[in-house]
Amino acid sequence: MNLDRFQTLADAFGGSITRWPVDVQDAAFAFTAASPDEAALALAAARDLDEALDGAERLLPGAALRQRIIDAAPKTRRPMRTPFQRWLAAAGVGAGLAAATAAGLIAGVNLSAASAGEDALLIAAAYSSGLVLDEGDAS
Amino acid sequence: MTLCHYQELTNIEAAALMGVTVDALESLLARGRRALRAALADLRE
Repeated sequence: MNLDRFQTLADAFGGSITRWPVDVQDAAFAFTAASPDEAALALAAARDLDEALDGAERLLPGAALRQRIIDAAPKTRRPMRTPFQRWLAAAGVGAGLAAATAAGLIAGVNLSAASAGEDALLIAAAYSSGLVLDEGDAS
Repeated sequence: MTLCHYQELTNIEAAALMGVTVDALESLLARGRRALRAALADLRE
């Protein structure tokens, strides 16, 4: 590492080598040992700015950067269901109930009272098994 | 500067968040800090 590189790193990352990128720290410490006066001068100037930043009111990121930070955050999972909801989902009861309800409505409108129960069961079974998908007359 | 100085992110993390290369981040930081240092020096005079 030469003085120019050391100076650039001090300008970019400040007056504390331990806050520099890890992959350049060893070389930076070696340069400090080899050229203590030059290194001390560069670090002192950078440290002055570090102290000014520490004493300043916090800077806030712009809206675009703020959004990228938020987008980069780990996504949370959907809220945990209650045990009963998990049981319903596992059993497929929700879909079955919806299909049965739709079939019951159809049966109530279109079918005779005597056969409504049997037909409703058949239609419900068809919906539950996926045999009925986009039937326009189901609505 | 916010990400690296205040949030103490690594150069790799900050570069990724800003969508730039690590080299570009280093250049931006160096230029920004030099400009700020010059501006502060002007204020102190």
